[in-house]
Amino acid sequence: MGEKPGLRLRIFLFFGLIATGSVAAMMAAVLVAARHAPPETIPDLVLAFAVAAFPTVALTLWVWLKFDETVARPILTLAAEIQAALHAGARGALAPETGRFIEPLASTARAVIDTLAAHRERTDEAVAAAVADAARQRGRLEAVLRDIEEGVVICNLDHRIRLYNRHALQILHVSGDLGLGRSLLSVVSPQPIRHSLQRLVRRFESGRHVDHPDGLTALVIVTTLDRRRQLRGRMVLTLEQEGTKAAGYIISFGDVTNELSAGVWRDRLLHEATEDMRQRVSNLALAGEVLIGRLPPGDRRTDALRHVFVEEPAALGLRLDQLDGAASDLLASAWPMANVLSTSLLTMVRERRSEGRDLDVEIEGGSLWLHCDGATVVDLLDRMMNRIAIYARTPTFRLGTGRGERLAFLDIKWRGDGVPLDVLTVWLEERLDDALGPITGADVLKRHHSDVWCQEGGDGWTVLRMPLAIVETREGRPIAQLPERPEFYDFDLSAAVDRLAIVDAPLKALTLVVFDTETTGLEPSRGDEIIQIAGVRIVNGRLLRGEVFDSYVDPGRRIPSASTKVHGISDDMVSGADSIERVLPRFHAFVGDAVLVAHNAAFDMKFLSRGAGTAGVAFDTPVLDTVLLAAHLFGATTSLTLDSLAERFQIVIPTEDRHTALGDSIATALVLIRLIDMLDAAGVTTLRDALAVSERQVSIRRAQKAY
Amino acid sequence: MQDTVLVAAGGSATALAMEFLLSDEGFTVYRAEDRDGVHGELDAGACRVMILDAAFPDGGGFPLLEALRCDPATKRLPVVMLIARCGYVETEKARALGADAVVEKPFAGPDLVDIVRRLARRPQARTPRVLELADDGRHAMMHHG
Repeated sequence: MGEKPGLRLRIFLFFGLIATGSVAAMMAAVLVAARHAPPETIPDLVLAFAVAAFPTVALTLWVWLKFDETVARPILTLAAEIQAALHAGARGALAPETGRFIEPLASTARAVIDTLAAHRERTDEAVAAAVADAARQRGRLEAVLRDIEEGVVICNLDHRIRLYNRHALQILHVSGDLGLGRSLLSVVSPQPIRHSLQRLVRRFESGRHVDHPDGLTALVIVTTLDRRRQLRGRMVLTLEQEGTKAAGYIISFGDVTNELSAGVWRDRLLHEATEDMRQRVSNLALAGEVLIGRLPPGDRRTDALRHVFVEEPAALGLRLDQLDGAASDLLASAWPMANVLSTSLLTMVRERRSEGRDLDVEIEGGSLWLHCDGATVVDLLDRMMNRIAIYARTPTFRLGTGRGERLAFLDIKWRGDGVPLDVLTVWLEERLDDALGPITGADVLKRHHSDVWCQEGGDGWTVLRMPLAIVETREGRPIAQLPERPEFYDFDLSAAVDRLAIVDAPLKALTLVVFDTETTGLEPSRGDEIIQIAGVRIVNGRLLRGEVFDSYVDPGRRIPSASTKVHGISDDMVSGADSIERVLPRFHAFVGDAVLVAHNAAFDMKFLSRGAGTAGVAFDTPVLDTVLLAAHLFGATTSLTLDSLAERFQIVIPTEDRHTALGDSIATALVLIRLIDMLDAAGVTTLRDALAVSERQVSIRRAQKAY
Repeated sequence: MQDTVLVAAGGSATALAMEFLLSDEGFTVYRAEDRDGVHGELDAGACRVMILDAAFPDGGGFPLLEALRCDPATKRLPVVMLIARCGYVETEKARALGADAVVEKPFAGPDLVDIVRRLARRPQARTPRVLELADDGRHAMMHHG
């Protein structure tokens, strides 16, 4: 804008300069002439000057005006038009005769303006086309979503809603509009969503999604804002186009409120009912036994009736167990239980920091696959840790995974006072993070059929322990026949015989513990160790259902893979188990003063005596060997393997239990019961008799070996 | 001196049946209805073995077991826990809290008697009494051995 006067002013000044200069030159010429001219010629000179000067100035002025009109102004106009075209996209009404006199410039400028406008138009068209295309695609997607029954919501990694369908609105119970760009976390309970996304992102980043059965999906259960409905969602992680980074997720919801509450209600009803039934049956059975016991003995019918009071409650107990199990399965399918690695869970507990306390938390020990609802378990453990921090006044914790006979344990360890069950009960009644919905710690435990308690952890640690189901992955075992263990005849049976009064008791009345071990190999003197011990008790000729001993043992050495192929026990199954020094005393306590029995007892006893020395216990009760007893009855020429004896007595051992310590113990026990019956018929009635015939078998075999 | 057994079991039916069962087998049986009763009987005399029902009224069986194990006087008292739920969790909990044996209902009488007998034979400084705890307040039969 400031240019306008500038250019024209400059041109004017230029012409003015020409005019002024010419006039000045003329004046100077006249003055020079007047210097030497007679005074009467001065007026003529002045006139001459005027005649020259005025036309000059007039001409200059006229040329300037023309120049201004035909060059300066058009230039300025053109400049303005170009500016307008540049900045405002105007096409400009450029009069064709404008700039006639500055021709190359004018037409070029016009061409430039036209091209600019054309480009602009094309760009606008392209943008409009792209926008229309996107709108079309979105319309198609919305049409698809409309037809899906479930509520679908698509979000980015910040949980901002990118797209959703009408059903989502209904299911999520949101009045009005969900609003694109709104956070999903403000519409449903946020913690399960956060937790699942975290898990999926971790799974993707560590590459585990390739082998994982769920791939990039996860189940999640949330509650709606009004806390009245519970929704089950399936979350899928979406990736960017190259597939290298997570972009967001799609989540599809279904309403499971009725299903869940019905399930919970049904579960509770069943559990209460079975528990009550157990109590009642137990009372009935006991009362019946007492009455029977008071009848005169010796009557066969009384014995048969007594039998009823023993067998029927046991059978009913089994039935109730089955019922319980079925109920649990029903409920479990509704909740999002998944297989989680225990260290992942514990890491999430450490990172949870829900109360912002400054705790020093370390994670130790091995890792196990657990079957649980990760989000709630993490919250529960976090809450417990926070409460313990105040109660025991300690900021230092260690989180670990332990392994029992059939359960895994999540342990919170600290140094300080233990928490009594009564206090734990109060803590468990508290609502957990509201983000999960209205559930308490007790609800979480109930859902997992679990519990928590405090116990000593050794080395001055106190432990809060929560048991959970393990997901066992056993190695496949070959069906082919495997060689039986070598037989040992160095074992001296007669040592303990005379000392005990039970020696003259009938075999049928004895308390026997039938046991079996699994080991790293077949050579006890060459560094092989026990990795599993199991035992079952026989009392009065009956295998006791409820009392079994079954324990893994950490052998402190590697298990050879050939050995694992036999019994299916691998190194990670025994890591975290107690060592032999701690297991043997427990086994010793389990045995008490019962008579020990095993199939090929000398082999197991060799291992047992080695461990017993270091553990500080002694197994000095008499030992019977089912191989030797069977040899006495059937002769040494027939096969005396556990499989053949079981077959002979038509005892069925399920294949998955064969070559487990517990399975073999039970099989041996059942074989033993039959053997005792047959021995009784053959005149071998007391323990002394049994030991005697065993000794004879040993010497026969020794003699045979000598050949 | 007869072996004395303390039965702490909610429900008079259970308590009664166990009392008969055990006394027929030669034990002296005491019953207690609540925690005060338990402590009363344990303080007054010595019990060889205690049978404790997990469904014990007045706070539950597990907390009572926990309390008994904290008290040095009853720390080594042999305790048999009766649980109604089959499951490894209850068994594990009972064991972790210090029970010496766990019996699931329903159980065979002779099995319980065998267990009690075995635990009673454990060397002990005192002879504990067996307390039976009924939840309906019947304190009728109180033997002192």
